[in-house]
Amino acid sequence: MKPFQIAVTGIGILSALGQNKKETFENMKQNQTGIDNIQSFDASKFISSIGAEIKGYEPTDHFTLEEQASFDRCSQYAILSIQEAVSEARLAQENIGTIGLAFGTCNGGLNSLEQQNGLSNLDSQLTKNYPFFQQGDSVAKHFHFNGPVMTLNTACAASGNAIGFACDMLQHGYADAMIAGGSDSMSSSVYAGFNALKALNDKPCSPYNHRYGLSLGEGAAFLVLEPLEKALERDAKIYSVINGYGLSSDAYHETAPEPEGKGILNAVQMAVAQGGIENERIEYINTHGTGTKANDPAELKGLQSFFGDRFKDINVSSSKAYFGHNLGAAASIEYATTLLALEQGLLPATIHFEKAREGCETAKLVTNEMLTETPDYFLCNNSAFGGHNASILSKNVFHSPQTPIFDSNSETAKQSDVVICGFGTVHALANKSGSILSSFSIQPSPKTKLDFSLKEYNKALYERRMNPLTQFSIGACDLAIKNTLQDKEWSEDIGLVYGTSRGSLKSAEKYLGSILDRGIDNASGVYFPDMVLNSTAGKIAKKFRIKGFSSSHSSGGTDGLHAMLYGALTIKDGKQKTVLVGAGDESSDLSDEIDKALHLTESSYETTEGSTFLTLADEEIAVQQGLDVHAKVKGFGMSFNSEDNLYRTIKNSISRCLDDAKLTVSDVDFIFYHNNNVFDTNEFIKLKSEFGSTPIFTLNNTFGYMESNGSLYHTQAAVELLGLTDEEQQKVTRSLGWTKGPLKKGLIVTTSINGNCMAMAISK
Amino acid sequence: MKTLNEIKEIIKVNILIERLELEDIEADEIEDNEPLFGDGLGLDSVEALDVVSGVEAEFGILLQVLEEEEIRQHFYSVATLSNFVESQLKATVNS
Repeated sequence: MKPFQIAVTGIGILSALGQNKKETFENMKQNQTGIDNIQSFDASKFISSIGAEIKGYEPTDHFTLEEQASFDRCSQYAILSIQEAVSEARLAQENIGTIGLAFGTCNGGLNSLEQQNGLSNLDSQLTKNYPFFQQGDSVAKHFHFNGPVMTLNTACAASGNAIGFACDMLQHGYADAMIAGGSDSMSSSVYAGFNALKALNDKPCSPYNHRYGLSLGEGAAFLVLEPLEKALERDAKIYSVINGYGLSSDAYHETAPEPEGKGILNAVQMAVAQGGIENERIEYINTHGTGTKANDPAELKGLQSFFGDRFKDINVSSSKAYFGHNLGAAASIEYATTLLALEQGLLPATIHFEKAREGCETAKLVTNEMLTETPDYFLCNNSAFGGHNASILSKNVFHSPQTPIFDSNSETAKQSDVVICGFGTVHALANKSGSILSSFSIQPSPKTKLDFSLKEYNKALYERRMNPLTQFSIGACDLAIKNTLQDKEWSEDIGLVYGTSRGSLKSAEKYLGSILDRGIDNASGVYFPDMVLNSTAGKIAKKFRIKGFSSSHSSGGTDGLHAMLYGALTIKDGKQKTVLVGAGDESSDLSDEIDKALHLTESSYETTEGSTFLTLADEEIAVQQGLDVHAKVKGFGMSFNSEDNLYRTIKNSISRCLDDAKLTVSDVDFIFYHNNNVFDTNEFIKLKSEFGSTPIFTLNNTFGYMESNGSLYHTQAAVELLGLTDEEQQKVTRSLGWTKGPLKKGLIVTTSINGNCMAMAISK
Repeated sequence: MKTLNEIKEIIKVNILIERLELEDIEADEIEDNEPLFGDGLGLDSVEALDVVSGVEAEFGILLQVLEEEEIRQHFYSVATLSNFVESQLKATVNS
C-alpha cells in the first residue's frame, strides 16, 4: 500500500466575504467580516438578526431559467465554487480519467421546501430539488463526473468528512481526481432552530471571546484532489498535501459536545496516526470554534489532552468570525481559506476578539490580525450536531522544502481483508432475530407494512420522541451486534457508517410543522436536532457507545453499498478493526410527496421501510475473536451516469468491481440487484439477457422498495445464502428457480434514481 | 390574569405533555414539587430550552434577560416555575 499523500490542486470559494477565492481572501486579510444584517428573510423576531450571507448573489447572473428551476440554492453555490476549482486545476483541458464528487451538506435543498410554506400538495419541481443526495447528484450531472458520487450529511462536519472520503477514493484507485467540499445556503428554518437553542450571538461572533454565541453563514467551497504523484507528473499547482484524516463520534449528546473534548481528540488521534508523523511537527490548528458556550472550551480541552504541555505553543484560530458558521460548508471553506493564507505565509485569525473566555485562556490564539508563520504540518478540525467530528492532517507545502516530495519508498502495512461477521434486519418480512432468509421464496407482497416498536423490543434502547427511522435502525443494529457476538464480549472500539437518503421526515414534519403552526420565532427546539440527517447515526452511536470512525451519507438508492464501501476501506486502512454498517428508511406523508416528485410512485414496487446492519471486521481479528465469518468482501465499483447511458454506467460499475475484486464474469454465481423499476427497467432486462445463465435477482418484488436500505438488504440476503451449506443452499435456490449452484461468489448491484451505480463482490 | 392553578395546568398540559411530548405520563401524574430535570421528569438541556420557549410563547413573557442560575432556580419544578410565571405576569400588569 502506498503512503497516503493526496494533493490539493484547485480551490473554489463562495462566501459572505466574496464570490471567489481571491475576493474572500483579500477581505480576510484586511480583517473584514461578512457578518451583517440578514437580508433573505425577516429576522426581527429572533434573539439575533445578523448572519453571514453572500452579498449581491443573483441566480440570473449565473444560471439559465431552466437551470435555476432545477438547482436548489445549495447546488447553485456548489456549482459556482466547483467551476472555479476545476478551472484552476485545468481538469477539462487535461485528460484526467475518472472524476468523482464528495459533497458535504447540512441542510441539503431545504430552501426548496421552505419556499412552499406547507408540507402537503407540494410542487413537484421544487420538491425534487430538496433531497440531500439531489445536491451531489445534480452537481455531478452538471459537470459530467463519471466516478464515485456521494453526499455526506454529517451536519457541520460534512465537508471535512467529504474531503476524507474523497481522499480514500483516490488512495484506493476508485478515481483519478475527486472534487470534494460542501455547500449550504441560508435557511430561515435553520436560523429559527439555532434561535430556539439560544445559540446565536447578537453581535458578530468571535470564538473563544468572552461574548459567546455563533453567527450563521452560507457559502460553498470545493477542492480538486489528486494523488500527489499524478499532480506532480502533470505539474499541477499544489496547495497542500493531505496525509491523514480522522472521524469519530462523541456518543454523548444530540447537540452538545462531550465536555472534555474526547470526540475531537479521537478524530485527531486517527488523523495523526494515519499520517505517521510526530506531534511536534504540527504547528497550527484551524479549529471548529463556533463561539458557543459549550463548543469552544470542550474543543480546546480535547486538543490540550492530545498535545499536552506543547499545546500552549501551537497557534490556534477559528475562522468563523470572518464568514460565520457555514454548517456543511464550514470545514471546506475553513480548510480552503487556510491554504490561501499559508500560501502567503500567514495564519488565519479570529477577529473581533477582546478577551479570552473562561476555559479558553491557555490556548495560543491568533487573534484580530493574520500572523506571519509557516507551519510544517497543520490540522483542520470540525464537529457537528449528532456528535460527529472530523480532523484533517496536512503538510504545508509552502514550508520548506517548497516542492512536495512523493514518498514512494515508505510502504505502509499490508491491507487487511474484510469479512462480514453478523447481520440484522428490522423489516415486515424479517424474523425476530433479524434474518430474512425464510421469506425469500414468498410470492409478491404478502405484507410489507412494518410494525416495530423499539420500546417493546427493548425499552432501554428507546428515548422519548424517537422517530421511527431511529427506532428501526437501533433495533437492526442491536440484532446485528447480537448475531455477531453470540455470547462474546462487546468492544467499544468500533466504527459506524450509516446511509439514509432522507433521514427521518417524520421529525422534519414535526419541526417544520412547529414553524408553520406557531410561527418562526417559536420553532420546536426539541425537534430541531433531528433536522440534520446524521441525527440517527448519532443516536445509534450514543446507544451502543460507538466512538470510533463515524460517518453518515445520502445517495438516493446506493446508500447501503456506500456504507459497505466506506466501512470496508476504514478496516483496510487499519483505522478500525470492526465497523458496523447500516442503512434505513422511514415512510411518511412528506416522504410520499417526495416519491411523487421523484416519480418513484410509478414503480411497480411498493415503497417500504426498515433497516439493516452488518458487522464488518478485519479477517485476522474476526478469527482471533472466534467470530463467525459469513462472507468476504472482495471489491467495489462505482460509476455515475454522466452521459445519459444508464446501461453502460451499470456495466462500468460491474467491470470496475470485477477488476477491483480480481474476478472475471465467469466467477460470478449470482447477482442480487436493487433497482427502482422506474428508470432502470430496461437495463434490468438487458442485464438478464447479457448474463445468460447467471441468475440476476431482485428481492424488491417481494420485500418492497427501500431507497437507502435496499442494497444492504440484498447484501444480507446474499450473506445469508453464502453462509448455508451446499444442501441448504440448494433448497433455497431451487425455490427461486435457479439452476446454478453451489453459490460461492456473488455481486450486489444497485442503481439510484439519478443514475448513481454501484457494484460489490462478495464470496463465501 | 391567570390563577396559579391555571398557570400550573398550562405548564403541565401545553408545555410538558404537548410541546415536549412526554410519553407514558398524564398531566395529573406530574407532581408540583417534582424536579423537572435529573431524577424527576429527567428533562435534558435541549428540552429545558424548549420549556423556556414554551413559557415565553404561552404567557407572553420574555426570559432572555435571565441568567442561567436564575433559570435553574425558577425552572426547578412546576411549583417554582408557576410561582415565577405568576410574579412575572403581575409585574407586567403593574408596570
